[in-house]
Amino acid sequence: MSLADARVKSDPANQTTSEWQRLRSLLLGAEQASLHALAAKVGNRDNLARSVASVLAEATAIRAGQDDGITRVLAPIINDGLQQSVRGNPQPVVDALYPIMGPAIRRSIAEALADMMQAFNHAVEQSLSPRALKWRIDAWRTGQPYAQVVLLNTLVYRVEQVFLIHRETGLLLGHAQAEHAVVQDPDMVSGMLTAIRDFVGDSFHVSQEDGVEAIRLGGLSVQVRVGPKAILAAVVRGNASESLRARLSETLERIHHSHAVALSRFDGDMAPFANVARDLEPCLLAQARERRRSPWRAYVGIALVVAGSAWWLIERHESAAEWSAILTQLEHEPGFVVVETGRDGAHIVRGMRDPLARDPRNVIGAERARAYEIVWDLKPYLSMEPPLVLARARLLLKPPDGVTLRLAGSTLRASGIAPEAWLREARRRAPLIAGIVTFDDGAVDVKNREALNRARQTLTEATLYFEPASDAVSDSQLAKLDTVVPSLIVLRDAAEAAQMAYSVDIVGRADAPGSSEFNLRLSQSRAEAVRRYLLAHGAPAKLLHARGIGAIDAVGPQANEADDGQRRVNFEVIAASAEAADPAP
Amino acid sequence: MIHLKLCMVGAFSVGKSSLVQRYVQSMFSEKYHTTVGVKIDKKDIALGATPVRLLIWDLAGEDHFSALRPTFMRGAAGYLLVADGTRAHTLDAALDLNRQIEASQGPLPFALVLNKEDLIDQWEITPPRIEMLERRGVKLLRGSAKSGAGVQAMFEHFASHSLKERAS
Repeated sequence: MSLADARVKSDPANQTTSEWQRLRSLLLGAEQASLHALAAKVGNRDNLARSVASVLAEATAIRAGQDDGITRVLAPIINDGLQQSVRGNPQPVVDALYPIMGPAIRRSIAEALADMMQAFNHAVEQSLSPRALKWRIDAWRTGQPYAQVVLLNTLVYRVEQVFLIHRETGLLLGHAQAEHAVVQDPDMVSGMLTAIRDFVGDSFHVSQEDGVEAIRLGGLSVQVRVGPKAILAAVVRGNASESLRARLSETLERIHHSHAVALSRFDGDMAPFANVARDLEPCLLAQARERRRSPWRAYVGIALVVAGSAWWLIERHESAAEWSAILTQLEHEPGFVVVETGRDGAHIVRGMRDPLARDPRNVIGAERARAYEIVWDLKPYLSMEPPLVLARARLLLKPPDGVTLRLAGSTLRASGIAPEAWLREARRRAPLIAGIVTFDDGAVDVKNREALNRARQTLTEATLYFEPASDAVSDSQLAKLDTVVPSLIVLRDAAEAAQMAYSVDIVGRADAPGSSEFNLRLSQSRAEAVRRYLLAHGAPAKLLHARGIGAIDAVGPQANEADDGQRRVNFEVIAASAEAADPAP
Repeated sequence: MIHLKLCMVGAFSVGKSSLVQRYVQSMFSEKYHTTVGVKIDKKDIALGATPVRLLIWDLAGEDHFSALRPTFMRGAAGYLLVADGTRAHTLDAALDLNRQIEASQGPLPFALVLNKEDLIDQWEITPPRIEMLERRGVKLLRGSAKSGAGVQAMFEHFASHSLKERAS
């Protein structure tokens, strides 16, 4: 027995407790041990954390499958954490996002650039054009190579070199150059470029991210894109386009992505970047200069405006000029007196017009009359102006074809060939016409005057003699009638042509012996005998009137004696105007 | 090929550029020093089987009072501190620059170059001082830009040292 047991035995109270203990441990020994272990786990902070940690992921997964409680709890925490992280040091977040952000943004930017070499060849092909000659002169003048001048003139821009530079060391990681580009040692240029960027950054206190983005010198620029580990610099001749800048950024992002490890562990070993130049080559862009398109739309627009204004001005001016021309025309037109003109919406012309004057619409032209919608307020009057007087004479005298009327002062002169009847009427009427004082027909030849005169003469000269107290026409006398018939026909035709009415009286006479009654009858018989004969021989009946007048010529001392000369038949030609003589021919 | 950025730092007119000039055919003119403050040259060498391209950033000479441009030092594989043996204060300036560089860039491989070895009899920098520096672990190289002595060695030393640093 141990010392402790002996002490227990010696103290009865203690002995009871320890016995209980023993009993408890005998009965609940295993449970007690696990209770202790549990208490140690829960009670100790470290142990508890370790226990929870072992099931945290599984518990999270189970809860996440049940509801979005965890998400709701974590969201604000992550937000705050991210904000704090960015505020503290944005670089890791920027670095993480950099390779994916740019491409995502720019993927939609379309790139279409003209093929540089094609433009170049085109320019060289055209080396005999006047433009090319000018370039050659420029090249000679400036001392630049001709190809360079051509490039400068045919390209908007051309990327001549691309440098991929390690940002930290300024060491050149990759380099690509365009064909024919003049290139200095890229390693040293790369270093100097970095130095210049550093220099500017130091001098003007700008951060590396905001540092030099472009260096420009005349027609040359260096476009710089800065990534977390590397810098992309493009030497551009001309004006870099937005698409080039996008291409540079995109390329830099791609290289950061594809060479992420090599870039972050770079120690001067160039092996991982052996092929990086291939990634740079797509940046060697060139954009051909578009033929300068004339801004024809603007030109056409301006031309239209100018033409419109000019047209309006001319129109206005022409309109005013035309109106005054119209009035002048009217004032100069015979038979018009313009008293007043005005505008009351429409144009109004007040004045006088001879009824024989031309229609005013014809004077100014029907087109213009319609265009101006002129209201005419014209009172009639008699114009003494020669054209109107002449017109009036023509209207009233109705000169036949072949007769011309002219006015000389107040004398109306007629010329030409006129029927005698018209001439007679004209002589009567002309002086009655307003504006005409005298009628001069000296230049008018009566139509068929000669034929008429000859016929008349023949007729008036023809005399047929008779035996005493006889009305028989002797053969010797009949012979005379042979010339009478044709003369009658001529007279008839000429009379018709001259619009004259002629009648031929066959006048029979007798000598004194015998009663006057007998003589009258005898003379009538003699006339009718001749008429009968003439009618029988084709003379126009209408013309002939037989009339006996007895012995009215038997006057004087031997009046009662027989007289051979008195026993005769004569022809008397009587002329009268057509209307007067025969109203209905 | 391994590319290494090497910086040349030192006080004004200690002969940094002359040393570089001795070593490389330069593309840029001296005026870069006064404008940008740095001139960059290149030298391809072979260290054993390894081709190495040295990009030598020749930083404009600094005096005691003008601050070093730390950004030019960024990413350098190492640097050469150049001092003019005939002018003791250029060593002080070089060591001061060294402190500035260590403060801004952290420890980088470097070597102290004492130029103008051809004028060794006029040196102000005393042998005891040189010994002291060597005891402190500073790698000391001597050369003469004028005669060309030790120039190639100093650049190649730097290159091989840098390569060893990279390997370790």
